[in-house]
Amino acid sequence: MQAWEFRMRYLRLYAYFLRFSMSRSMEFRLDFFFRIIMDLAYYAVGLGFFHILYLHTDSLGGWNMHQMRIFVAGYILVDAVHMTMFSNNLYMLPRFINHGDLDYYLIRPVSSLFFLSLRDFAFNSFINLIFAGGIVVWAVGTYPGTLGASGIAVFLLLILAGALLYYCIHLLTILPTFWTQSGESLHQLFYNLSRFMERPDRIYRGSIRLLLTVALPFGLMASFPARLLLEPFNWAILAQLLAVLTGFLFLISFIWNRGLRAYSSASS
Amino acid sequence: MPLNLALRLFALEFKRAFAYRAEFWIGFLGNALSQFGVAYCLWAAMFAGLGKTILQGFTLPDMALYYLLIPLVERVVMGPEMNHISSEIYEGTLTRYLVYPVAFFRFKYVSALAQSLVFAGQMAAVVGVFLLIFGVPPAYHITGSGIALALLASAIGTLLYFVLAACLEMVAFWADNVWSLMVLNKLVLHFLGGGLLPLVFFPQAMQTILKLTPFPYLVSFPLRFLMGGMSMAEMETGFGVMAFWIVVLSLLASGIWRRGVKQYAGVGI
Repeated sequence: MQAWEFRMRYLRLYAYFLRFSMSRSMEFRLDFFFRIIMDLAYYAVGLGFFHILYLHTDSLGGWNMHQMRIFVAGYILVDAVHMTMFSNNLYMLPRFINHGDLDYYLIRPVSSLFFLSLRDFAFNSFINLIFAGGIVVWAVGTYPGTLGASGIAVFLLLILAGALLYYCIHLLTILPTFWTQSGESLHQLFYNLSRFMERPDRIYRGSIRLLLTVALPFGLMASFPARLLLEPFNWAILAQLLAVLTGFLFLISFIWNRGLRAYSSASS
Repeated sequence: MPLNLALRLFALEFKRAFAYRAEFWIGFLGNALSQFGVAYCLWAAMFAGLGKTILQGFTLPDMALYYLLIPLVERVVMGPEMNHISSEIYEGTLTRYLVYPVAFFRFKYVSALAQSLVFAGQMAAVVGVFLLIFGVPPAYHITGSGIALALLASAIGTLLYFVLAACLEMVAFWADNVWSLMVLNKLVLHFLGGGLLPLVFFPQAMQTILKLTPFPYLVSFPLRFLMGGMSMAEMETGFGVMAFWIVVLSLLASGIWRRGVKQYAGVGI
């Protein structure tokens, strides 16, 4: 019963976050539409890039164009979930740490990491999340082979796991702010490295592959869910994705708690 | 603008660029190396999959140098800083420029040019290291005149990008936030300029249309002087299209500025 009440409390809190975010997002109406167009352009560039590439080849990373479209739809969905739920919050986090504004969140009777990671829901990106969902439907719908409903459901669930992993790595590049006071360069590095998510994992070889599927797992986020959908089911792929995600969740929880101990509250 | 003022602005921008050295280098190397790394892995897989050594005139080493140079040229032409005009509008600090005895756009352009010069130095260092280690790939014909023309194209590119970005940034006179508009601009430029893949891979009709737009001249055009094989007619057309867009966008920027300043309240948000 207590666990149920605990979950309901967090759900109610999240409902409040949604309500406040909705009103806030309409404050800057023109920017609301600019952001939608910006993300749509990002999706168009992703699809256009592979469309042009497949004018010169039939297969890349073991996938044909139809399979690649499903992979692209997957990474677009990872990005859209991240932009909708986490991105705005993580953008503000270094400022809160540096200005001493974290105090306000630490005294709340809920998980500070939950509050700071989810308090701002980006409604403009939510519109894009719907478009991203449409791209997935289009990519799956135009796929010439047979894709089972259970396979598609697993794909979508693992894409959500990929989005969570993406959030973990993004947060990891921000947490050093507790000690360094300036996290801008690492934050920028995250966006640069996120390019590795936008290409199929099989193009990475040797030590780069090991790096991108274990230590900086951008190669897992969209590629592994797509491989499980498009190829014969492989438990090792599923196990690796879930093991890496679990490891990263423990890691951010550990570093967050260490960071809070180092947090002095004084602004700089 | 008086020369001594321009020199002071240059000195100021140099100091700013090196104020946070770690961020300066991490930002630069992170962007250039990640872009290069992703592209190299992709094209290595593509060449291996097709079993070919040349694709659209590019060997794998040619492609490697292309993708190493692209983020460097983009950094020189476009600079890393966005919102350098819109932030003045939002913060109300544009007011001080209105009373300065120097034109606002000249002031801003000289600052942008100084940043570009710093990045050009970085570019020279990185390319020098690459060439020392790997030598000159086959598709490149690096000559003194090629380097001079590439630098000229980059310098004119900085002006073209400046007027294009100014038009978009001045939307800030009416809109609450233009950050996403600037990101959109860079995204489109990167793709249609040949930053994601060389323009020779695009369908022929698209290449013909793109040659009339400003996009290729801000990204891949300077590189073509290092790769050789550009005819005099292509060169003249390229510089002509750049000049055309600089004039058109300058007139547009001037019109937006005149209307925007009337709108400007100077209180900041």
